[in-house]
Amino acid sequence: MADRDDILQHHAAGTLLPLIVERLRRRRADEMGKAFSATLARLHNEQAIDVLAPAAAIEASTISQHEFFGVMLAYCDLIPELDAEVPAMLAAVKALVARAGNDGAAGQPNGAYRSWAERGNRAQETLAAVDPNSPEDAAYVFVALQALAVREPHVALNQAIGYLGGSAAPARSAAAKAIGSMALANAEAQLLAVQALADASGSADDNTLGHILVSCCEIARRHSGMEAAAVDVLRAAGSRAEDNAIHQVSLELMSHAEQLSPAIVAELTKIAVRVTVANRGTLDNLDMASSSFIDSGRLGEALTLIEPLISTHDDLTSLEALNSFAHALIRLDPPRLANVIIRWLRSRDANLGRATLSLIAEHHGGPLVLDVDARPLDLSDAEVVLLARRTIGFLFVHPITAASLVLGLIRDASPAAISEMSEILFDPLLINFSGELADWLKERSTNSSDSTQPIVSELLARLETYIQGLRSAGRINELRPSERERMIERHRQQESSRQLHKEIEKKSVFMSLVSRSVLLYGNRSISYFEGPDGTKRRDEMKLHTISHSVEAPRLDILEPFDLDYTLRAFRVMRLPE
Amino acid sequence: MKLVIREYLASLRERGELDVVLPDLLTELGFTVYSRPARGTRQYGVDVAAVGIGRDGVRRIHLFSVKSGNLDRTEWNTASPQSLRPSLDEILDHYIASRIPPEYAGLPIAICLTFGGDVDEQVRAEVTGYMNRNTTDRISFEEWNGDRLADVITEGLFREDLLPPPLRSHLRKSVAMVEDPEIAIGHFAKLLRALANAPGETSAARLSQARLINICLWIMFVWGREADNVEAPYRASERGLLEVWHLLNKDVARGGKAADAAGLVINELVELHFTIWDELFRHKILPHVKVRHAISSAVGSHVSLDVNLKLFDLLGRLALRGLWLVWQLSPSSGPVVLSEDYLQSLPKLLLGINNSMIEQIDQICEQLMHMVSNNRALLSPIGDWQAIDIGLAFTLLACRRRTHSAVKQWARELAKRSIFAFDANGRYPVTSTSYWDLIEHPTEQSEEYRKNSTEGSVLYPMLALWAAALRDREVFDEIADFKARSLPHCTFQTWLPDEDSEQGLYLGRDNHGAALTDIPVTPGTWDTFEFALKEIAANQHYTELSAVRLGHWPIVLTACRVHRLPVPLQIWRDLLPLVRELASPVDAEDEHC
Repeated sequence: MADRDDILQHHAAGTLLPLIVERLRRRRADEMGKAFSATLARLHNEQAIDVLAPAAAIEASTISQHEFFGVMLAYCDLIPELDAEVPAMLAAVKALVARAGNDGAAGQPNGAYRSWAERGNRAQETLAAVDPNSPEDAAYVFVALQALAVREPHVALNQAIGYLGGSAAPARSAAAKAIGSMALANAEAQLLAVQALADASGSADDNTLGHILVSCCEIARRHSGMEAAAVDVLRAAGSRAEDNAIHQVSLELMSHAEQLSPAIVAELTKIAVRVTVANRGTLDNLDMASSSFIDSGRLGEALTLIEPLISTHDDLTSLEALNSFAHALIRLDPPRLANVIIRWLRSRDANLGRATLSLIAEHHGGPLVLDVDARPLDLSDAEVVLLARRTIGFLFVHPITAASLVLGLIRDASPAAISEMSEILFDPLLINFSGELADWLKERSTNSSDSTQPIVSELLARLETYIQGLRSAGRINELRPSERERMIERHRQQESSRQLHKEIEKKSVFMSLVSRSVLLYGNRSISYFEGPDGTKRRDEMKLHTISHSVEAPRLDILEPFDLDYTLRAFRVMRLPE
Repeated sequence: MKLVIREYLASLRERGELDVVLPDLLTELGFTVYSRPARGTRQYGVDVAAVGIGRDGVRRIHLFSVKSGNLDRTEWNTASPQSLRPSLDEILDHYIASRIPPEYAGLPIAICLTFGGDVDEQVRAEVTGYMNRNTTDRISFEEWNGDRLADVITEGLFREDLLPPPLRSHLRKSVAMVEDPEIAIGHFAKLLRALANAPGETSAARLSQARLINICLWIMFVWGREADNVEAPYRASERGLLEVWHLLNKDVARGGKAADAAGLVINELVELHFTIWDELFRHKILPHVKVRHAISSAVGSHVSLDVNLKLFDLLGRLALRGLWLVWQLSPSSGPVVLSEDYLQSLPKLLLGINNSMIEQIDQICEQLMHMVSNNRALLSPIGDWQAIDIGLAFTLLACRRRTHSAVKQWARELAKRSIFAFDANGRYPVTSTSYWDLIEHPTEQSEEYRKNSTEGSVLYPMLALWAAALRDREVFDEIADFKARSLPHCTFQTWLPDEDSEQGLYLGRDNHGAALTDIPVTPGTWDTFEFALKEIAANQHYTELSAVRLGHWPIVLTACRVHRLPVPLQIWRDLLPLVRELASPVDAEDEHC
């Protein structure tokens, strides 16, 4: 009884929305919330109040945006239960969608509308009420056709085909999209749908074309018999796809990567790789799609989708924009990951080489050890040496990974190739990383069943001789940089660290969540904070040190030009023509 | 101050050290030194012999037998010929009987037991007993220990009119800070500058100043050696030598006794510099030049710039030492290719010495090449001005036919890498000498930055000149193309002395010399070579420099190294044409193919 009175009272006072906010905050799904919503619907349907009017005027409401989303979700629950005329419902739903703006949840009221329209003649009335030429109304053509298809699929399909063949672009686009979502009961309907989509594709704008392509995929996904017809449409129309259509394709790949057939994926990939990389949303979808492919064991398709993008766009080599792809690759078992890396290094594509480096950087924890079996690759001596050079050229800063790959390649090489590869394993790799890499090799050298053991032992012996040479000279005081020079270097180092720290802080998600306090003394902090009940609580925290060390390549200090030059040369080496 | 001097004296070694310093100290006390230490000749126990008035006012012959450090049982009397007692016996038995010059034959004799430290108490009784037993009316014994020698220095060379308190303070600080060479050399430079600003009015006064510099350098060196860091004394010795040359060159030119004395002091400074060079290079650097990265690594810095700067500096020092050896075999006008024919033309009497000299030169050349090949930062100069050190090394290597191919190969690498670094926006050679600038280099990838950093160059024209001399068409044309393609804004130049250089060169003053600009490097020609020879023929200022006039051209090169001036073209007047002649076109073509 209290709800009813409150609702009536607030409705009369024009404060129904704040009441909804108050009553349903964190209670929407519980019994009280559900009871309150039911009362609202009942009062509306009894015409005691008009619950749609405040929604239609929500643009002007003073409730905060945060509160708005609570209200919007309450309406999404309410709408299917309300009795209303199409224009009133449309006005309310459109207003809710408009206020939601670009938020990801903005389409939810339309979903509620579709449920509402499934009842009675509301779908047809909606189609009659909306303007097919209005882009704003296109969404309601779509939901109305979907709603209609629930009870009258043939009628809905025919009506959609009608729109598709019409001249109103927004309605064509919506219809194309709707056809893809309809349950097509028999082969005749499926063929009719695909044929209509194919016919419309020739004159479709980019947005409609995207929906046509996606609808073909969706039909093929649900009805395997339609795969060939769908592939034909993709093949014929795909080349005309531009940004909007490519985006639609990327969504399809992302949403249904695991279910799409290889033939469909192949055609979609041809379209998707033409993406403009500045369209980060589209790229993100492709990134997710490739990750899904890898996770579902379709590695080849993921590589076919992403490799051309990396290959043609320098800024993708960091894999920052393709992080899902990179994470999925790095989760592969070592032999398969090794094969991907070898594939990229063999490609002689500089971007893929750089991407290899970025990929290894995604690996966290201990060093990544990759054992490659080169036998299936059937490489000549020259090829295997070239591959070893490229491996070191690109993966130099991950010496253990690089060494593990080269030792894998060395296993089946000829004596001449072994000699060359041993040489580059020593210089520049081992000579630069005589700490971590040497330790790893020492451990490996104890494995007598490893066929590379003699090579590893020889490398370690050479390293020992080299280090002995360095030790023999020791530090010569006369060569020490002056105090002034050291001071300058320290200053530069501090400045560089300070800048780096600032940059990291700016990007840090963690730092954006916490407040920052600088402790001038001690290694323990004592502070008081206010709990949810308003009481002050004492918090004492012991501080700990976090440290991380990285081994700098020796030659970067001793012979920086030579090191840079050698690695550059290794990266660009080709086999003689 | 006396403590500093005592410590110095106690740390001196006999051979080539205390015995070398002693004559100067005696001269400043008014003694006439008639016998100086010489290696390889029998001294009958006497290291230095001088005539002078003793503390008791009696004029005597003083026969000094010198030992280093404290006089302990080993130093006093063992089977070793280096022990003091056998030396004293030799003096008594042979020297006094047969080696006293006739003009001093009637004078009483004081045999001076000379050592930098003290007499060890364990041998005190034996020493005193020996002296008492052998004292006669004519022959007496004196103990010149560290304390007495320190008095000799403070009352002689360090007397207040020669070394006033502010200058003593600079000496003290340079010694105290010897482990921080920048600061130590700063104080020593102030001491030198003060002396340069007030040169003595008489040749004797100037000689005293020169000896003072010598002993100051010795003090600094010995302290540095004890601290296992002779960097400050090394640099100070070069500056000191230049300072003394500036001070005494007119006396040398004048001839006569004053000239001999001046020559002696200059020679002592050169020898001291070589002693310090030995301490650094023979003991610390050269044993490791054949080991890959040993020298680079010995810099002990995590900054590649430090390694680069130190290596090129060492290169210049090593080359210059080799050129001092070349100087001893070359004509006084300048270095030449020391070919077999040339060596045959030298006096036959000196054949043994010359062969040994050539051996040393070849050894230094070989060590220099090892240093380059095992420390490849020496293929990538970061400062255009490192052409100075490269120029010195080229000069040395060009003096031997067998190392011409090394010059060619090295010049190729230098050119190729510098051009590559420029094209790749890496650490290409820049004009700035500021450590701040160099450590950040390249701070920007912009074209403007590259232009500003390469507005002038002495490196590229020098490489082109040597490429032309060696008939290396590929490198010459590569530099020419690079100039046309990437460095049209860069003034190719070099430095030449002018009429003011005599006054400024040795002291490092900057108001002298001329820049020879617009050095041509045109593909398909050897125009750099022709241009250089033409200027060498036209410009006479170099030959007017006292060091060149008096046949001491390595002093000019020392000044260039110390005060960071490019090697003047004229030093190559005889060398370059010979190098070109030896690089026959046929050979060059063959290599090219």
